[in-house]
Amino acid sequence: MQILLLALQASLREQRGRAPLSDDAALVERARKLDDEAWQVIFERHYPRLYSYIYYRVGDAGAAEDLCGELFEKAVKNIHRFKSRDGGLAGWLTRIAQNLTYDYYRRRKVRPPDPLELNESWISRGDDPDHYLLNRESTDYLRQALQKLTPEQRDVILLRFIAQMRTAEVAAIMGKTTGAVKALQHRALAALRRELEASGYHGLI
Amino acid sequence: MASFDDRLDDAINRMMAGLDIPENNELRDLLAPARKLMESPVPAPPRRTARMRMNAALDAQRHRGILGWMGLSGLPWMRPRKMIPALALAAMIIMLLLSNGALPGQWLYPVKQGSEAVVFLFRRTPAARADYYVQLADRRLTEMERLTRTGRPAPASTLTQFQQAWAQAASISDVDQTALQQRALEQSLRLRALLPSLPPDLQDNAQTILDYLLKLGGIDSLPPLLTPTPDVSSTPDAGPTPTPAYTPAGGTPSPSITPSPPQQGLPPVATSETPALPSVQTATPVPTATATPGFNASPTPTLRPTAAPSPSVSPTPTPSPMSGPAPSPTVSPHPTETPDETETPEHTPTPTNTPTSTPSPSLTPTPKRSPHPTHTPRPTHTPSPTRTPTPVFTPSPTPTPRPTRTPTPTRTHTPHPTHTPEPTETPEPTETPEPTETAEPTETPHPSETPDDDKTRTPEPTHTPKPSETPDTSRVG
Repeated sequence: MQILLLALQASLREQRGRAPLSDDAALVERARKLDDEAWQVIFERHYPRLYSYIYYRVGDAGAAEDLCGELFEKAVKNIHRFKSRDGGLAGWLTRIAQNLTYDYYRRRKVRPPDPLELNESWISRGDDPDHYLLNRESTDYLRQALQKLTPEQRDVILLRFIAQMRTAEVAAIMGKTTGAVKALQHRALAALRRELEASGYHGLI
Repeated sequence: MASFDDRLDDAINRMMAGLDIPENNELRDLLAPARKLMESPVPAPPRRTARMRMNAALDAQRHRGILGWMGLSGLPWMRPRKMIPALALAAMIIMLLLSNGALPGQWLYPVKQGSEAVVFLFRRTPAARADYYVQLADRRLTEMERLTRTGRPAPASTLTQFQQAWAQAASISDVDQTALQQRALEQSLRLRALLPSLPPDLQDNAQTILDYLLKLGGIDSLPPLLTPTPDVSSTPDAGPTPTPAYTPAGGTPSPSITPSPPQQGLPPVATSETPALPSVQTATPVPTATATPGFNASPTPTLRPTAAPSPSVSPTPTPSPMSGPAPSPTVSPHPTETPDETETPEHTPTPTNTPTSTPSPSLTPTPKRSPHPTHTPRPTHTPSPTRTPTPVFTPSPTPTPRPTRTPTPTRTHTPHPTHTPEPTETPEPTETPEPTETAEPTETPHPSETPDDDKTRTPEPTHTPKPSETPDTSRVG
């Protein structure tokens, strides 16, 4: 009996023409039709890395959260403009995030965030504040070191290691060849190490 | 052999995938900060707020666009922002269409007038502009008709705009005058029908405009709309009594015929717009006068003014005199006639017959009718001749043909027909066109001119016979 019901459900699902959500193309197709389930999948799949990326760029958890909400609003409104050649869904969303951070700086003319500022969101996690303060220290070193890189070097580091994008996706976003991105990331990692060493950070050992 | 950049990229990919990294000091040194970046804690991403914003955006998108509720809102052209221009255009078109039927006092009426002003901008040629003004006048007239039909008073402003539109139309030269006259006549007919239902304070002005239009149309007055036989009996003044007789004679022809002479009237109109209107009135009568000869029984009040024109009527007969020295002799009769007119002034106006006067030329064949002497009552009217210079006036017999045309039925006054013999002069009648020229002078100074014209126009005396006609009216009674 259960098998019968499952088969019936499966056939109904097929009839409804709902493509599986495993691949980007199907996900985008359903997202264009404002399918709620598809958008929840997109949110869960991309939110963490996008949030980190934005956070590293703006240095403020509250602003990052705000910009993240704005990012998904824009994504919903503009999904009909998405083209697969934009570096996939991840690349498209990251580009929106990038533009939002640019706008953020332009609008606010934000001063560099205070690295020792204790963000309430850290405490809200309910974890040991000491542990997070310690980790926060390394994060701040990293952020400060990143600020001393050239904009391109900073971008490639953030896209590659924070937004966790593939080389090809980064190349699509930055408008460079994959070879140029590989060379750029090499130079960026070397510069970051130099800056961290120069700042007295010992966590690299 | 892969370059170091390639090997580094491959090592990064392996690190991100949680795989082992090849043992290489250089690679390890470079990957150390990258690993720290990937491991460094980032404030817990508070998803709730961002998720709520996304869900709200989803709901909004579903309800946006015309077909959003059908699940088709994903199509770009259905988005409200893209549809704003189209919607605005559609709203404007709908408003323009609705405003077309707006009446004064309604909220869409200003839109209607605004659209009319815009239309004017696209009328470049004089003909197009004249047509525009005529159409504008037509619209104002229609509005007044609709208002009165619904029991609402027509505002004075609408009447003024109607008048101004016609003044503007008439002031444009290089226009097909015939068409303009025709339109003026059409609208004058409508205005006259509307006149009684206008507010009393507007009626005088409307009457002035009506006269102005008639002048434009080239006639003195219109035949009565309704043949009020009963009225005749009741009020001799109104002259309704004659109406029955007129209707058959000149009633029908008047409108169609009129156009020809009007040209004379137009110029003055052009010069004088609104103010000219009064003068126009005086002018108009002239043509009516021409008609009068035949028809004493001018129906409507318009006849009054026509009374003055009666002299103009004389011109028609003048044709014959015009050619010759006739004028001088004709003068003498006038005085005698004037008293006659005083006797039955109201009847004389019957201008409606005027049309008949114009046709006269075409009727020239009428001379044949001359034999009908019996019909030619007018000549009989000419009795004036009998008074003094009749012999001379006998030429006036030319007018006799007219009498034969229309009055014949009404007038059995045959006696004078004897004058008719002169029909030999009838050819002169062909010259009658001259009378049209006479109209010009008559335009304004009718009264003053009357003397001058009188010289030429012996026919007026012919009106005198009216007294004889008066008996006709009495018959009607």
